[in-house]
Formats: sequence, C-alpha cells, structure tokens
Amino acid sequence: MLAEQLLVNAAVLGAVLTLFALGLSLTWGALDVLNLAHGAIFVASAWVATRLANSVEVPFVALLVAGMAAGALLAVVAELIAFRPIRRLISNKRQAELSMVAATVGFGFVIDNLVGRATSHQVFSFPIGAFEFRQYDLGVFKAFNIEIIIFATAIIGALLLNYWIMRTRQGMAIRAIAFSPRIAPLLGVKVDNMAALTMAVSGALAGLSGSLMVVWTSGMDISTGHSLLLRAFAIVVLGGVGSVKGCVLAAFLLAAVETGIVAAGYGSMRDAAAFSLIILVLLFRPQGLFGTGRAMRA
Amino acid sequence: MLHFLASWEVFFQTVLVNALLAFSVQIALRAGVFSLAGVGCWAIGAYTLSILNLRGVNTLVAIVAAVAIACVVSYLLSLVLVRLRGLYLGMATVAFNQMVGVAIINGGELTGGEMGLYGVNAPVTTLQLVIVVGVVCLMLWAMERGVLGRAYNIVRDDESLAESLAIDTGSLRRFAFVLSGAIGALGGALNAMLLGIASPTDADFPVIVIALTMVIVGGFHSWRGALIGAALILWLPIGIQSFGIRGMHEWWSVVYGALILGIAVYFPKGLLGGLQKLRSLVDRRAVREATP
Amino acid sequence: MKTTRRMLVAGAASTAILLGMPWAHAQETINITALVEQTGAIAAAGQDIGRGIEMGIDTVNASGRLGNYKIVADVKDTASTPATGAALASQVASSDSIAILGPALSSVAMAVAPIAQRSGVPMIAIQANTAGLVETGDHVYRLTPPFYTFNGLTYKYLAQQGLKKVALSYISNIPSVTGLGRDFAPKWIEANGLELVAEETMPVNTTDFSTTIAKLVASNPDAIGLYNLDTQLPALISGIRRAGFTGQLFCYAISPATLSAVGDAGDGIVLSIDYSPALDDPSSVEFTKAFGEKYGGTPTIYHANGYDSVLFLGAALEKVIAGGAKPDRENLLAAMAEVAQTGIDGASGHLRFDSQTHRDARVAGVLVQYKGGVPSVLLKGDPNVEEQ
Repeated sequence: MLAEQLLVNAAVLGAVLTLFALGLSLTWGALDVLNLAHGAIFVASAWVATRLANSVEVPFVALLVAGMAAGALLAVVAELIAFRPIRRLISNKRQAELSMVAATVGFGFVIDNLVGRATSHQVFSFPIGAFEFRQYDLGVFKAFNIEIIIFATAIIGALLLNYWIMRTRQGMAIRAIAFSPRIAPLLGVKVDNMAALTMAVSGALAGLSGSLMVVWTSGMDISTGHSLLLRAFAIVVLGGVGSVKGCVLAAFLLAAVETGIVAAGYGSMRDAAAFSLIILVLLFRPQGLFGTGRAMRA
Repeated sequence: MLHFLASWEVFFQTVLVNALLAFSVQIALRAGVFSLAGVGCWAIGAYTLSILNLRGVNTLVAIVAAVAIACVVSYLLSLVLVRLRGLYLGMATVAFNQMVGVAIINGGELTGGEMGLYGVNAPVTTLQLVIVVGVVCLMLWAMERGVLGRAYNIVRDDESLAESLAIDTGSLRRFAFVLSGAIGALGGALNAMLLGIASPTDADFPVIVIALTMVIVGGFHSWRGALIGAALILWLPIGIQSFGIRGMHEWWSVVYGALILGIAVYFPKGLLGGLQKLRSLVDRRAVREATP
Repeated sequence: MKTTRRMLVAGAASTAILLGMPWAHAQETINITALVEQTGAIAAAGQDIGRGIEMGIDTVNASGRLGNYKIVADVKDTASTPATGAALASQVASSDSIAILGPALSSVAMAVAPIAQRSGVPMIAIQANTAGLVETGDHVYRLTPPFYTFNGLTYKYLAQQGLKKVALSYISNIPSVTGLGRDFAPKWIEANGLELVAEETMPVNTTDFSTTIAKLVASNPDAIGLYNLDTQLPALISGIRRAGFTGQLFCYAISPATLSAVGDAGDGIVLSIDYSPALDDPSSVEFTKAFGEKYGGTPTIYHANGYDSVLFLGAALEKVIAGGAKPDRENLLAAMAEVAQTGIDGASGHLRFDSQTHRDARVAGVLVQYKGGVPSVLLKGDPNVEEQ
C-alpha cells in the first residue's frame, strides 16, 4: 500500500519538476542562457494566480492561464532588458554567458523582493474553495484530482513542446539558433523575435508549474523557487541540454531517487541526490542521457 | 576622521577577507576555467581552521593546514573534472560545493553538524589582513603579466590554439584550479578567525551566487575587478540603507538587484572595465585638446 | 535703508539659530540601533519584530516614564547575513547609540555578540535561539526564551488527553528546531509515558513532502508533531489531512497566513508558545488590545518579542534616569542587570531570567489550540519552573 502511494508521490513530484525544468532546458539549449531567475519567475507567477483567485471568482483553468501569462511576461521582460542588450553589446560568447548569468541573478533578486514585499515574506495561497480536492480510488492506488491533473499536464506539455520544437517552423528556427546563433540570421531567422518567443514559452512553463504547485502544497513562499532551481539544473544536465525527452526522463528519475531516499529514512540527505547525480553524469556522460553532443564546447 | 575609520574597520576587514573569495573565482575564470570550487574550499578552509583552533593548534599552523588540504582537494578535483568545460564544469563545481555542505552537516561532533562551530579564538588585526591580501594581490598581478599572463589569455580565449602553440594547457588549468582552491581556503580560514564561527551556510548556494556576482560586477579580467566587486557587493546593503529617505531604504534589496542587473548588462567588463573606459575617454580628450 | 535690511537679516538669522539650538527643545533623545532581518531567510519574522519594536518605543515614549527623554531607534537591515550584521554592529560601536536590539537570526546574532561585547554596547537579542549566545559576555541578553524551555508543555497535554503514539517531523538543519526534535522531544515523550512511532527529518529548503506525509500517516500515530518552518506547514498540514489522518496535530510556530491557507485542516492544532493573543495576563491583554488598535489584526510572537525587548530596555532606562544618572552604555548595562533580577511584565506575561547567566529570558509559557484561526489557552506553564 505504501509502496504504491510512494509511486504516486514520485510521479507528481516528477511532473512538477518536468514542467519547471523544461523551461530551464529550453532557454539553456536555445539561447545559452542559464536563467537563475527561473525560480523567481515561478514564484511570482504563482503569486499572481493567487492574487487573482483572491479577488474574483474564476474557473480554475483561468487561474492557470493567468499564471502562465504572468510567467511569460516576466520572462520576456528579462529578454528585453537583459538578454537582448547583452547579445548586442557583447560579442565574446563566454563573456556574454557570464554577463547573462549575473543579469539573471540581479533580475531574480528584484522579483523575489518585490513579491516578498507584497506578501510580507509570508506564505501565500489560493483561497479555500478555489479548488475542490477529490480523491479517486484507482484500484492499485488512490490519487487526488490535482495529482492527476499535474501528471497529465506535464505529459501533455512535454509532448506539445516536443512537437513545437521538432515539427513547426518556429521550432526549426529555434533549433537553428541553438546550433549556431551566428549562422541562423543568415538563414532568415529573426533571432530577436525567436528569443522573445522562447523566453515567453519558458516563462509560461514556469508559471504553469508554479500555479499547479501552489494548489498541491496549499501555499508557497519565495524560498520555494530556490530549492527547485538547483534540482532543475541537475535534471537538465542529466537529461541533456535541449532534449525534451531527456528532461522528462531525468525529472522522473530524480523524483524517484529523492522519494526513495526519504522513504528509506534519510530525509536529511535528500538534497545530496540532486548533486550526486550531477557529478556522476558529468563524469561519465557529460552530454547527458539524450544530449545533442554539443556538451563539451571548448 | 579616526571616528570614521573606526566605524568602518569591521567593514574594511570583511571586504579584505571576501576579496579572497572573489579572487578564487576570478583566477579560475581568467584562466578560462569555469570553476566555482573556490567556494567549497572557502568552507573547507573555515572548518579546518576552526576545528584545529578549538583543539589548541597554533593559528599559523592551522592556516597552513587549511590551505594545504584545499590544495590537495582542488588538485584531485581538477583531475576528475579534466574533460569538462564551460557551464558544465561550473555545474560540476557547484555540485562539489554542495557535497562539501552535506559533509559538513553530517560531520557530527567534529563539524558541529547544523549548528556549526563557534568560539574560535584566533584574533586577526587589520594590518595582518592587509598584508596577506596584499601578498595575494601581488601574486595575481605577477601572474597577469609577462609570459604566464599571455599564456593564460590564450588558454582562456582559444584552448586548441594554445595547444597548437605548445602551451601546456593541462598544467595551466590544473594550476588555476589549485590556486583558486588555495586562495578560497585562505579566505575561509581568515573569515572564521574574523567572525569566530564556521557555519554550514559557508558552502551554501547563495555564497556561490555572491562570489560570482562580485567577480562579474567588478570585472573578471583582473584581480582589481574582483576587489572592486567584493567591496561594492558588500557595501551596497549598508550603503543603500544609509541613503534611505525614510521608507525608501526598505526597498534597498530591490535597488541592489537592479544595480547588479544594470551593471551586468551595460558593463560587460564590470565596473573595472567601465573605469578603464572612462580613463581612456579622458586621455583621448586630453590628447585632442593638446593637439592644436 | 541698508542698515534696516541688515538688521532684519540679522534678526531672522539669530531667531533661526535660537530655534535650532538643542536647549530650545524640551526633550532629549536616547539613541539605540535595531538590527533586524528585514530581508532574506527570516524576513517574515524580522518584519514583525521590527514592527513590535516600533510599537514598544511608541509605548515607552508615550508613558512618560523616561521623564524628559525619548528613545529614538535607528532600524537597520542585516539582510539575514552575518557579515552585514557584523559590519553594522561595528558601526554602532562608534556611534552614539547606547544599545543594540536584535538580531533575530542565530548566525547573525552570534556574529554581532562578540562585537557588542568588546565595544561595550549592551545587546538585547530577540529570538536567536542558539546555544552559547548569552554566554558570549555580560553585555549580551536574550529576550526570547529558547524553545526548549516551554515546548515540553505539549507533551503533558498529549498525555492528559490519553494519547499515546507520537510521530514527529522536524527540520534537520536549524540548530534550535533540530534540537527540539532530536534531543528534547524523545526526553519529553518518555517522561510523559508516550511512544515515538515515526521520525522524519528534512532540510529547511524542502518543498515536497508527499513521501514524508505518507510515512508519518502510515505509522498510525495518535498525534503528529511538525517541527517545521511556518512556510512548510501548509503543505504538511493539508497533505496530512488529505491522507486521512484525523488525530492531533502539533507544531512549534504557526502564522495567521498559514492558518488561513489551510482552513479547516488546521483546526485543533496545538502548540506551546511564549506569547499568544489568548494569554490572559493583564500585560498581555493590554499589548494585544493596543496592537489591534494601532495596527489592526492580531499580533504574532515576533511582534510580542520585539515589543518586550523595548519594554525591558525601557525599564532599565527608567531606573537610570530615576537615579539621576546619564543614559549611557555603562549605566544602562548596570540597570539591565538590576531589572533582570525581578523581570518585567510584558506581552508574554511575566518575563524573568534564568538562574545561571541571568541574561536569558524565561516565561511560564502556554499551550494554545487553534480553532477557526482563533487561539485559546488549554494549559498554562508553571511559573516556578525554568523548563516546562
């Protein structure tokens, strides 16, 4: 009985991590941006959704959409005020990478503290009744409707994202930029527009996972984003940058490992799972499970 | 005047010690080695010194031990991570730092677990700090010049080119790794002496972020940039607050983030780069005005 | 013509100078500095502490107990960082500030204490539950009783209710809280004839508790203890209830924000606490009422702690001024030691000090239960005992 329940737990955790990490993987793979503000965007979007829920009565889906919109907006702002100017002003690739990391640190700090001020650094949540919890007995295990929703959303989201990147023109454009930011414009790709679009999608993913999580955990505060960020790095590295398949698998793998560690009674060591995985992967398979092989660019 | 100096003494000492943290990151970045392992070594240095000091070991011996251990660990790490580059190397070193943190928390009596160690009694004077940091600066300055300096520049910008020029990139990278760890450990040890405590948060992610921010904001091309960055990042929380128009200073953290963002975007070579550009502008104007 | 204008200017100037001179003001100021964690890891608590301090100062100044003097506090943000706190503290040392209130975060307090001690500045730490703080020196006081001095009450209550099996969850990397779960709880459980059936730990930044919850509930306990951060409680409480547990919940701290986030799931939760709006001591009631009038809403323990620290400071200052002495650091310190002998009556009721260092606060403590977000007192601590 307990074992099946743990499976459900791992599945839901993996789903949340999937949505979050996909956003990070997207910007890292396509734009070479290590977005340390991704966690802050996650929290801020969730907060926007809860503010909406506390002001008006709207269907739950509308709240999710609001969260996604907020996330997309914040990510695009980051693109406009930070990444785009950096792309213009700095030609040295390594330097541009570092500057973007620092810029995301600053941006994330600003967002965190704005949300912190608005919430007085307290927990924020949906009002009771914004979402009705219902439990379903599926024979082998029991699951709540929110858990099923989260899992389904993650799978569908991953499939949609994969389709978008692999089968659409926009996706092709993004892959061209990922392959070579210098050649892509020569092929008619409008780098600026694609960058903004990529950031928007990444932000929307963060917003979606944030809005779902704040329901699942009945509340969140600004520190939630930081803990997820580190695990997202592990997932992206493990799965291979830019690979949707890899990201999904890695997310569920990490969730399974963490669940196992806690179940075995070593709860205080659960963080060690993420970074042990990072080191192991980087030592033996730096491009990750499904990486594109560009991993070690000198 | 003396009054002013006295009130800023602790701040000055903090800047000196944290400059070492910034140096440890800068020296690696300058060599093209994206290693943040200096932060983990900072924690190793802090704990080694504290553990030894609490057992009555002579302070100087304890410092040397801290640095030596960090050197060994960094060397081993450099061998293990030899094939990694760029952000991947960075991630691996971040993972290393986190493992140091885990080791510290689960170290039982030896490391004081989650509480850390306190009561370290190894006072250090400002003069001693200035001398130590001064020596390190001198060393870094020397490394930026001449053959070694140029070799590192090439290794950083284009590794395969460097190899084709018969530069031993492997040794240079390993050396950068070890030096980064040594300086980081020295800083950590001095920090423990300054604060009298060693805590598990010394290896935490926020410290990594701060170290990286100091270097990028100050300018990672030279040790001078790291020094400026350390001073600025440490001063901002206090400085912005004292500018506080009543109520305004509650927003200091937002201003802080915005400043970092602005500097990262518009000063790619950090503030140091900005200052150099300013100087060259002034020089150029002087030349223009001098010529009829 | 010119002369008249000159005279007018001279007259205006001298009036301005006269008005600006200190002796034209009726009151003298006592400057103190509050080092508060307004941002960073414990910002939520820090903000409340700052507000409590503000209220305490207004109260003391308005009471007239300080004669011609009034307290003026310079509030600085330590950003929950030891280095910043230490730098700020050393600036205080060379300013005209005669006391430091705070910090609240243990690591920051431990960095500030030695500086306060060696520069001769009396320091009144708030919260800062770590061991070894007041032992730094005779200038270091702590106004908040450490958790372990009153949390034993919870287990007395559990035993009284006839409950037996206890499952415990606690944070693994905050010294004061970890100590509660790992060192003290087993002691109290044994002392009250209870049984520990499950023990789950997690680091402070954990956000996913599904497995922890499953294990706690699976151990079939009568009561589940959550020694977790307030921000982790919503996930834990609602998850535990959704898993079907209907028994007793207890914790060590909970906020109104969390209670409203979990709604019914939080009904019946108990905790041992130093201050609660449900306390019926006259001084507590006075504080709770005054807070509601001034700021609206009910105060938290952090508001109360900040307020009490100023009351203690005020009582010491009153002694100094009544004795005709100048309010400076030495006189203040001496007066603080005197006041510590008898204690004060504040938001947390009667506050006295420990019998070993005489600088660490102690209260009787209460066990409160929340129903519908409203607390009520179920059990009171013994005021004659230092540890409940």
